[in-house]
Formats: sequence, structure tokens, C-alpha cells
Amino acid sequence: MKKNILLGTAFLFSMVPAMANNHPAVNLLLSNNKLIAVNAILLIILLGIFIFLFNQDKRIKKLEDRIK
Amino acid sequence: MFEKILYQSWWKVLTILLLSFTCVYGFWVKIPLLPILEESIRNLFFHVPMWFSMMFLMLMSLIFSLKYLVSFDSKSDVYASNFAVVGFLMGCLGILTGMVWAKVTWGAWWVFAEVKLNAAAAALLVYSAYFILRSSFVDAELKAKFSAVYSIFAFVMFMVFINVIPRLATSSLHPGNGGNPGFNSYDLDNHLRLVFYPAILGWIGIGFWLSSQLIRINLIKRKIDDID
Repeated sequence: MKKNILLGTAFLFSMVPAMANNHPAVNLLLSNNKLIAVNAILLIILLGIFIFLFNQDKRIKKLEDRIK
Repeated sequence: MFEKILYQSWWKVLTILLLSFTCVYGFWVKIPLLPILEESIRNLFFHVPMWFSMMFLMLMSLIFSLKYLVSFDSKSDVYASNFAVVGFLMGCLGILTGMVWAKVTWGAWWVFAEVKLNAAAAALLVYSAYFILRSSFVDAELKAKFSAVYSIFAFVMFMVFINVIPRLATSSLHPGNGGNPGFNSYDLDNHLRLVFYPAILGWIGIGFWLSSQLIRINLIKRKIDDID
């Protein structure tokens, strides 16, 4: 649970630069729907991959502990 | 020391941060709108770092192959072969993203006259031979010895194909090759750098992460088979 919260927080913080850099991105966010959709899909895929990798890490750790 | 790093989480969290940043800001960052390249220049955050990642992983494979030849510790062989597997995967992804970029900018998925494309394909073939060589041995010790020696040759050939031959060619469509100026000299501005460098670290990180999992799984298998 703690790891998931850490993961979620890290993920949210990674988006901050795009928002806070006094960049036209904020305006574009409101105007360019296609790009938002592409971005969102990409991020969902990426998040899926990261969750999968962390789960794999957990499984491997369990196996390692079992055969120690 | 190295084994400890495989089990730590900080670099995995860092990888997540860097790749998320790349995938978000990479699409919004202000780019130099160059003719022909236009918006496709954003592929710089994916295509080029994937090759960097491949180079890093193949270098790790080389280091562990050398380590095996010095110590004959079979664990080093596990490390070397699994780094090569993920490095090869990164190379395939690099080729695929490059093909998409080529279609957009040069009008074809593959330009046969382009020396860097052919050299990249040849470099992947060199590593394909590494995997074929590995699978052709039954004896684990022989497999490890021969593949460690071949790995040295493969890495040298890989670097020659990727970094030397394209620069010696008289003409190339790739920037920085065949007498063309590289990205560095005119169009890799600071906006692009802001995403490009984190992207390199992020893609290297995810390659390392995948390798670490494969290595750990194979070490478990070896323990179950009672090899160690």
C-alpha cells in the first residue's frame, strides 16, 4: 500500500514541470483535445507497464525468499 | 555492490519520474519547427534514447562477459546474456521508432541507400548470432565461454556499425553522419535538451529494470536446478 502511494505521488509530481513552467502547455491543454488524448493513452500504457514491473518485482522477491 | 543495486527501488522510482516526464512534456515542449522534420522531431525523445539504452546494456553485457572470462563465475554469464537480451529488445524498438520517423520525413519505412539503417540492421544481426550461438550449446560451461568471447567481438562490431561506418560514408540522411551536421550543431536547442537528457536516463533505467528482473528470475531458476 505504501509503495502504491509513493508510486502515485511520484507519477503526479512528474507532471508538474509541464504545468508549472509558465508554458503554453496550459492553454494547449484546454484547446488541443487530440494531443491530450494521445498523452492520456500513452500515460495509461506507461502506468500499466510500471505497475506490472513493480508486481513482477514483488513476485520475484517472494520466490527469492522462498528458495533462500 | 552491483547486486545490491538490483534490489533497490530508488532508481526504479527515478525511471518512472523521468519517463513520465518525457511522455508528458515531450509532447508539449516548444520545438524548433524545422522544414521536413516539423513535429516529428519529438521522436528524438524516443528513438535516440532507445539506442543509447541499447548501447549501455550491451556495454554491461561486455563488462560481465569480460568478468566471466577473468573469474569463470557462472553468475557473470547470466548477467551478460540477460543484458544482451534486453539490449536487443531496445535495439528492435529503436529500429521500429526509426522506421516510423523515416516514413514521416523521408517517405519510406526503409531507405536501402541509407548507410546507418543498414548498419543498424547489421548490428542487430551480429547480436542475433550471439543468441543463436548460445542456444547451440548443451554444455553450460562451453556456452558461457564461447558466448563471452563472442560478446567482445559483437560489441566491437556493434560500435563499428553504429558509430564508425556511418561517419565514414560519403552521404547519409541521418544527422551527424556522412558529412551532415549533427543535431547538436544547430537544432538541438535547450528546449529539446530539457527533455532529451532525462529521456536518455529514463530509457536506460527501464532497460536496466527489465534486465534486473530477467537476471533475478534466471538466478532463481539456477538455484532450483541446483546449479549454484
